[in-house]
Amino acid sequence: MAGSGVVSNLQLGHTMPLDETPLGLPVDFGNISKQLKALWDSDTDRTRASRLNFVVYCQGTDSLKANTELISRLVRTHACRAILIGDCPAAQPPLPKVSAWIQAHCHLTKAGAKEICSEQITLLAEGLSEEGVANALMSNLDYDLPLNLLWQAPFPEQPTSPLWARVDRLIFDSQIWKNPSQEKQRLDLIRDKGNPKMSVADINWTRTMALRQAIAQCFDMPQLLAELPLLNRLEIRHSPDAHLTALLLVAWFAAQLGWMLDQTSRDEIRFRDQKGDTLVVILLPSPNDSVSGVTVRSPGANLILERAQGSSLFLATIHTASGTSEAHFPGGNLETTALLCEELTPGPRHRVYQKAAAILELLLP
Amino acid sequence: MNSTPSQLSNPLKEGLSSRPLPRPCNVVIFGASGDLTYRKLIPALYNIEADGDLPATTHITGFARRPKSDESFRQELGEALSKFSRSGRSEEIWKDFSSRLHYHASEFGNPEGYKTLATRLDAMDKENGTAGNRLFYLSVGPSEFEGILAQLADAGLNKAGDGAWARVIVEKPFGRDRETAHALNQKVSDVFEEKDTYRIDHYLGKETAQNIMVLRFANAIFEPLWNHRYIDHIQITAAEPMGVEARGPYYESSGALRDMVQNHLTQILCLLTMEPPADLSADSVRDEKLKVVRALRKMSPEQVARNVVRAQYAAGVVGGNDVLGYKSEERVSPQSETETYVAYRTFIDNWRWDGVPIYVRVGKRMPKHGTEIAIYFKETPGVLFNAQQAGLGPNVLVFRIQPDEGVSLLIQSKRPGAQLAIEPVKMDFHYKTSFGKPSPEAYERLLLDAMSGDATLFARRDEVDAAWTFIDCIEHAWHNHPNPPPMASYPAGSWGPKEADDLLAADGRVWRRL
Repeated sequence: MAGSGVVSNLQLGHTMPLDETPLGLPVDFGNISKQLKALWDSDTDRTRASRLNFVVYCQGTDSLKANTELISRLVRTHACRAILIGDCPAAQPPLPKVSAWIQAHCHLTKAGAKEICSEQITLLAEGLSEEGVANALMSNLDYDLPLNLLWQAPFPEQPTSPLWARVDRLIFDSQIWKNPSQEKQRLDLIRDKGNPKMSVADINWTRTMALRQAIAQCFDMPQLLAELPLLNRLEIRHSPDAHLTALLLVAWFAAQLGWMLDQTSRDEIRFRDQKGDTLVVILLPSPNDSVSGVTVRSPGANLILERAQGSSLFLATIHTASGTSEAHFPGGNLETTALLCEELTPGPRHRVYQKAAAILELLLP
Repeated sequence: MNSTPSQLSNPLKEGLSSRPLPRPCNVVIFGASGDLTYRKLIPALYNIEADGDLPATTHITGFARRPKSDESFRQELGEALSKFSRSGRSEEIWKDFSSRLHYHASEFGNPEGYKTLATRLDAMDKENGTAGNRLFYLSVGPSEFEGILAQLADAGLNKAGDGAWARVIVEKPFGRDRETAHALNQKVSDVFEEKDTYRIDHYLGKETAQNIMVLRFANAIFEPLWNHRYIDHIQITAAEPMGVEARGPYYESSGALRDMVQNHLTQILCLLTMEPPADLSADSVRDEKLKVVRALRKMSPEQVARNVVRAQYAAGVVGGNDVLGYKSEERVSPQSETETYVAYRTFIDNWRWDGVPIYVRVGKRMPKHGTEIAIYFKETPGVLFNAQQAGLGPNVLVFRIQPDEGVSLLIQSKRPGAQLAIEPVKMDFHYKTSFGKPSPEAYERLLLDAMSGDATLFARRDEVDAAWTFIDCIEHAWHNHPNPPPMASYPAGSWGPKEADDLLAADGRVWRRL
């Protein structure tokens, strides 16, 4: 144990590991609780805070450092017990083993106040079974607090791990899915068989939130609202890696406006609206990040929503019979920490997501 | 039947927020050159915009006497925003937001000013699709209410078109007694329907005030104990180190009882002690609050003398600085009979709270700033641990309304060691620590609610009326009774007069130390 000398090296307002290694202080897996207790006993200037368990599951060791940085930013708004696990099931040590590190991320809420700290446990599991990994995680959870699991790997074929039953919220990012149809099916299986009560949160859905809010607000304008049942064309501009993000947005439109799928190809989708009229959706490539623009057309109005590169706002340009007007809307923060913060905040988005996800399934290749 | 556009609902808004979203509207602030506009209202509206909750076509028009252009109004507000906005000022957001700020110069009593305002609002409705939705904020003294309301009515601005709404927000004080409040409410209701009248009390916009209901009704462990069988007494404290500053004339006509108790503290007391409402609609909640105010025990002049202490601060030291006594403050009468401190014991005469004393104290020039509610639970029976160690002390649940909003619970715990020693320990929840995210300002929540048509956190007419009935008994004993109780004194920087301590000492209790 590095003891108080190491802890006192923490700099105010910064998050730092407890020693020179990026993952923190190496500890025996069986002694994690004791070592954490010693850590807090040795320091009275800092206070530990935790209102949830936040587990990040990734495979291999490549992203452990990046995930540690992610956690260090996240705990500023979501005090938690963070457990980062790098799972190497194919590793072949003489015996399956778990290596462990601990560290604290501290920050000041205001001058003169105590530093608030969240603790992080990092586990490297080599050659462990699914059950072994689940056991390693569950033995280190903060009791009573909800478990939020960020899953950064392909979903397992079968949800046999006992971990699923303990998860309150499963967070994933469908943008990184290599085989979306397969991942969606496996996700449904986890929900059906692993834990029907678990809520699921797709970071990719949250990535579209600012855009959905801006579009929804534009349609508050009476001239546009009257055109909503008459939409006949939707164009979505997106970066190459955001195809699924764009499809989620299409699925949202379809779910909320009652469109029925007619035909689909990679870049053009045809729906029938509630009156049976055809509605065309075109997905267009864009050099900008994520989904950067949307054009919505009807016989009497055009709405063009664009995020300029580097801007934090969307600019909406609205053409109607009475003229052209412009308005700005918050562009949202697409940084992963900000998206995760949003996922960890309770809200009503789940129901609408479920409706959109059901349509997304039909749109997946 | 065909719907007009303003009556159509927008299906794209489903699930985007956990609260009703406001519809686009025109906000008109009367008294736009006042302090409240610069310090609170515009920063609140700006932060709603920055959070993405202000509809993009909502425009804000300041109405005041001084001649000013839109541009100079924006310039002044921009400077104030840099100082008073909790999220600072982003140039990108400000550019867009400020383009929707306008200034309308007119005397409050000039009919022409309202006609041109109506023309201007109609044009903005047409241009921005605000559909005739209007929110009028009367950020003016009550003496101006009648004139402004009459002019709004004459210009037809109080009547909303088909599917639209016209609402008015009224700032306190809502009168200075039941009679004047009644007259004031009558004037408002002559022009706006009660459902469109929003009497603002910024205490109810504070996070912890809203959390009172959540803590009581979203946790199963508290409500079974929330009654006379388990609660010994309740203490409510609202302390501030400031004196009357430049508000001498206002304070002289008001005093601590009218300024704080009739509105803020009574509203808080209601949330704390009301029965569970049937649902979370505005009227269900306000119905239950009303029952509490009506059940507050009314006091005869003799009971006032026994249960209420009034006092004025004398010269003293606050924050290390010598400060004047109240009677020496600027624009305060040297013979003033206005209280700067009041402490009282009251009871709620209903089944739940039978016999539970509620002690309330509010004062200026106290040692520190703080508003809190402390629930003292009854002590355990005098056997087992209570028999072995005298004076273990009760469990105390504390709601900190401001500053450092949060909740704490004092419990008894065994001290480690071979001997049996029991000590109180505190379980403490701080909003800042647990949620990281800063709480929105009270005015943000309340303005958003008014734009969304949610009146839950606003006082209803009958609540105001009932609160004055309680307050009037005390004011009557002080000012209209032949033998009024004396005015006590306390040095500035102290926790109030000895008489207030005696009030609790007579019941074998002491005020909580903040």
